[in-house]
Formats: sequence, C-alpha cells, structure tokens
Amino acid sequence: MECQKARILIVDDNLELCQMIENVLLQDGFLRVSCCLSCEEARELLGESQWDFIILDVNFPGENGFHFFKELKAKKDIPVLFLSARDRDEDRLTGLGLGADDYMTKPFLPKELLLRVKAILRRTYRGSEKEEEPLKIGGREVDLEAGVVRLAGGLPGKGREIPLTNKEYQLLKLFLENRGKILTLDFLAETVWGSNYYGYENTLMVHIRKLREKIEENPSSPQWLITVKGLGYRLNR
Amino acid sequence: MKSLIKIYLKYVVSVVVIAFVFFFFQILLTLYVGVKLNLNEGPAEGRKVYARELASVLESGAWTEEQIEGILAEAGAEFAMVLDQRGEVFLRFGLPRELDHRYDAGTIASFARWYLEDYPVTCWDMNGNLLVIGYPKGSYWKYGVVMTTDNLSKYMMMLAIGLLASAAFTLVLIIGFGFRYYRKMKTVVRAINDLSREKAVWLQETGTMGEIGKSLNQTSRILARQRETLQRRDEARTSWISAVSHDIRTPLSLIMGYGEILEQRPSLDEDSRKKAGIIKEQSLQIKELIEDLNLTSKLEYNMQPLRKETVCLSALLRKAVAEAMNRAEEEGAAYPIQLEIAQELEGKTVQADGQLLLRAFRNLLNNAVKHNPDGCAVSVRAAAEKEKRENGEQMVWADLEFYNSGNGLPGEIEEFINRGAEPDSGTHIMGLRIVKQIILAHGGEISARTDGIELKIPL
Repeated sequence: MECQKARILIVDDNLELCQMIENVLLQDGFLRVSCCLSCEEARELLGESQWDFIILDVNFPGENGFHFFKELKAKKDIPVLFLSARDRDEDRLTGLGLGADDYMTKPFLPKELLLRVKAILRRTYRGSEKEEEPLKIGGREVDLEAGVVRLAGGLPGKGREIPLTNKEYQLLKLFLENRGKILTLDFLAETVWGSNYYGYENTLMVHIRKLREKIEENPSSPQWLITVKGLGYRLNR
Repeated sequence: MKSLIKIYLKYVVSVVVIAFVFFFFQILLTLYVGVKLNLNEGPAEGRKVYARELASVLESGAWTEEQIEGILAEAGAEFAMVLDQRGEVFLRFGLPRELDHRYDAGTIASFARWYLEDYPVTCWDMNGNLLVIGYPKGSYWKYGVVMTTDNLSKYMMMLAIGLLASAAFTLVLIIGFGFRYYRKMKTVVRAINDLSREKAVWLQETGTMGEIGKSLNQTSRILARQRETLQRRDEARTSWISAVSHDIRTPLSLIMGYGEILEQRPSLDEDSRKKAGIIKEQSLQIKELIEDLNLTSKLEYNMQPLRKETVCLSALLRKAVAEAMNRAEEEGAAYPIQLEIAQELEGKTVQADGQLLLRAFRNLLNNAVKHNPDGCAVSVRAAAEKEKRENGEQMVWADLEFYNSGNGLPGEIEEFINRGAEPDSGTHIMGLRIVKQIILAHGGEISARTDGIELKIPL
C-alpha cells in the first residue's frame, strides 16, 4: 500500500485545527482524509468503514482521548498518533505507554506532523511498500536486511559482500538512522550494551575500527565515520 | 542550644559570685563591729577603766562619798564594796543589805568570774583588798570560755566542714534551680528554632513559661495560616499559568501551521512567503516562551517535582554538546565547541532530574548561539572539586564551566545570577532564570562572569 492511499482520520474538538491538518495532508498528496470533532463521532466513523491511521487529541469535553484509545486498541489495531496540548512528561509517557505510535504536542509544525505520520505508515505497512533506495556510503551499499556491506561499481572486487557482526550491524544502523549527526559515546554504548555501559568505551573503539575496515576505503584516515574528539562519532552524509 | 548552655553557666557563675561576695561582706561587717565594740568601747574595757579610777581614788585616801557616787553613776554601776583579805566588807557604797556580809574564798572565786546574786560585777585588786563594783541586774552578759586546745581545733574543724558543706549545698541548689529553668528555656528555644524552620509548634500554656508558650503558639498558628495562604496563592498562580499556556496551544498551532503553509505555497510571491516565515518563526518563539514560563513558575513555587534518577553528568554534558553541535551545523555561523571533561568525573553519577539538567545545559549552550549571531568559540569544562566545609564535612562538587568568546553577559544578568537582583523588565532572562532554578533545586550553586556561567552540582 502506498502512503498516500492510506485512509486517515483526524479527531480533534477544534474545527479549524482539523481543517488545517486535513488541508496539509491533502496538499501533500494524501487522498483519503476525514475529520470529526468528538470521540462519539469517531466511534461511528470507525464502525462504518476501514481506517489506516488516526490522529487523536487527548482533551475532549466530557471525554478523554486516552480512554477512547484504550477502547479502540482493544478492538482494532490501527496506528495512532496523539496530538495534544498536554506537554507534561507524564502525559507523553501515558500516551506512549498505552501503545500509541507517537505523541506530538501542540503547537506543532505541519511539516513535522507529515514526517511523523509518514514514518509511522512506512513502519506499519512496510511489507507492501516498494523497494527502498539502497543506503550508500561512498562507493559502498549497505543492506541492513541482509546485514552486509556491498562493494558497488567502480571498485575492485565489485559486488563483493562483507558480512557485519551483530554489534557492527547495530552501530551502523544507529549511524544510518542519524546520518550527519554526532552520536555520543554514551548513546552508542548504551544502545548496544544496555544501561550499564560504563567501561565499554574501549570495546566501542574496537568495534568502530572494525566497522571502518568494512565501510572506509582507507580505515586509518576515515572519510565517512568520523571521530569527534571527546564526544563520539558521526557518519557523514 | 549552645547559647542557652552558655546562659545557664553564666547564671551559675554569677550566683556563686554573689554568694561569695555576700559571705565576705558579712565576715567583714562582723569583724568591724566586733573590733569597734570590743577594743575601743567594749564594756569590759570600760568597766576596767572605772574600776582603776575608783581603786586609785580609794587608795589615795582623800575621797568623799559624793565623789565615789559620782564615779559609780558615771559608770552606770549600782553599788561598790571593798573586801579585806579575810573577806569582810569594810567599805560599802549603795550596797544592798542582803549582800552586806562576809565572803569566803569560794564565793569570791565564783562571783569574780560570774555573777554576785545575779548582779554582774567587776573586781579589782587593791593592794590585797578586793574592790567589787556591782552593776544593775541584767545590764551585762558575762560568759567565760574554757576549752582544751584539742577541742578548740576540733571545734574549728567542725566549723570549717560545716561551712564547706553549706556552701556545697547552696551550690547544688543554685545548679538545680538553674537546671530547671534551663530545661524550660530549652523547650522555648527549640520551639523558636522550629518556627524558623517553618515547623508548627505547641508549648504548654501554664506555669512559669506559660505566657511565652502562649505567644509562641499564637505565632506558630499565624505563620501556618500565612504559609497556607501563600501556598494557595502560589498554587493558584501556577495552575493559572499552566491553564493559559495550555489554552494558547491550539490557537498557536493554527498560527504556526498556516504560517508554514503560506511560507511554502509556491503561488505566493517571495515577499509574502518571507513574511509568512516570520509569522512561523515568531510563533515558535512564543511556544518556547510559554513553555519556559510554565516551567519557571512551577520551579519557582516548587510545583515541579524532581524526577530523580541516576544520571551520569559526563554523558549528559556530551549529549547536550553533541546536540548543540548538530544544530550549529544548520545555523551556518561557526560555533566551535571545545569540551573538556576531567577523567575523575567520567562515569560519576548523581541522583538528579536528568531532563531538567539537560534543559539547563541546553539553555546555556543555546544562549551562546542566540546572542552571538556572528559565531563564537564555546568552551565547556567539567571537573570534580573537593571542598572542606567549616564544619569539617567534605563536599565534592562537579564543577561545570560554560564560557564563550562572544559578546559577553550584560552586567544586569551577571547581577541577577550572582546576587539575585531582578533586571529591568526589558531584559529577557527566562532561559538563565530556569538554569538557575534547576541548579538550585539540585542543591547546586551558580555564578556568572562576563564570559560565561559556572555551575556546581553536589556529587
């Protein structure tokens, strides 16, 4: 299923806001977007037809979006993004804890909302989506599905596949997801080794060096996976 | 409580001093009076003078009745007689009839020492004859002391022991009574201490300290009421701000959203798109402002509970710096950040609200970017610092410095950070106010100089 064909329901008690979101989604190419102003209406609409995504407010007069979400989750498995004026951490944690796919606070930028909606849709309906662009690092392609780095054209040994170890795979995935950003030593070590990561800095260095051997032309003077002194590492775009 | 013990000791010392002064004064007085009466005008001495005078007059042989009577009257005596060696009365002046008889040696020895038929008498040797001068009954008191020297020293010893014992007893009384008052005062002082720590107190309203207790109880009630009123007002203010910042979110979403939509609408001309962009940017700022306002009011009135967790300061700093560097790349201007974390701080954890601390670090780093649009070099240094407190306690601080080579902090803001002086309303200090509140809420310290801020967080 293509993103744009997804049926999206916006539930918010403010009509103007509903219209704006509808507008933004339609502008971006989404084809089937509807909105309603209360959980009551939403229940009816959900009963009538099939929906692929719900953007849900939390505060409704007389009803609570969390409550509605729980009831919904028990019946159907539809991805939900909370869009709420409640910005306390507790609310965020409640929303995500109940199993929502994302939690955004108002005020928000429409662009960010679009990105998040699309990301969730991609994640949820990945199987039916068309092939993703291969991830490239210089002259090499990374195939995360297969867990290998492939040497692309123009290089000696074209098409050769270099397998990644488990830790290298985890690290490379993090770098690719946050490409161009500095990732701190702590973040990397914690993601790979868990919360008790102290003392893993040296091990991390070893893994980075091994990873460089697989993705860099010249591992001793890296072009892509750069050390940021005292902070961490960055995978250049 | 220390001062109270001092007061108590001072009281004991002063009472003891007073007792000694009193005692010595008494002794001096006794000595003075005794000397005055006994040596100069003492009755024994006076009587001797008259006896000598009378004896010499009688011995001279040339005397008259009147002369003798005159001397007797002057001495205040009632009678006089002279006994010869056999005890016969051969001269008599105003001698009562019952005394006019012969005296044997035993009687003479007795009255010379004590009384003659209850008349106090003075005897004087007159060439073998005895001159006896009798005074009115009850006019003199005579007492002879005879003691062995052994007994005398025992007697003196007993006197000294008695004196010491009574002094000790007095001292015990002084200390005992003082202690009773000390104990009563202690409860009062403790109550005052509690009041100053915002605790409620209740004291007995009867007894010596009843009145003080009553007024302290009343003070406690008044303070409690004021605290409650203040707290209710603070809560009202905080929830009001929280409500406003909640309600403003939906309208702001619309302003921000349409601003962005218009900014990106290709059909609009360049100028209008730019203006729409400004609307978006400014509403983003309003968003930040209301979030800051909400947080600062919660921190100010302690309505933001610290969600304490085990936080690694060096990791948190690296996170904040990495974020700032990632963002600075988008800003265009150059903000090189130099991060130095001392080895001893590596892996050190504190119990703290990590989100809030991260917020503080972010604000400090953002300020460097926000107030130096042309770029500046930022330096972040972190080290552990030991400090010996006055009470001997050893404090270990994480010392975090955020300095930059930019325009520098305005003097007003330095004043606000270092001395808490509120700057004029024109100066925007929300970000630093939040930093200060967060650091203080963690028991830390904050200080400012022109080129940056220094934080101290207890480890």
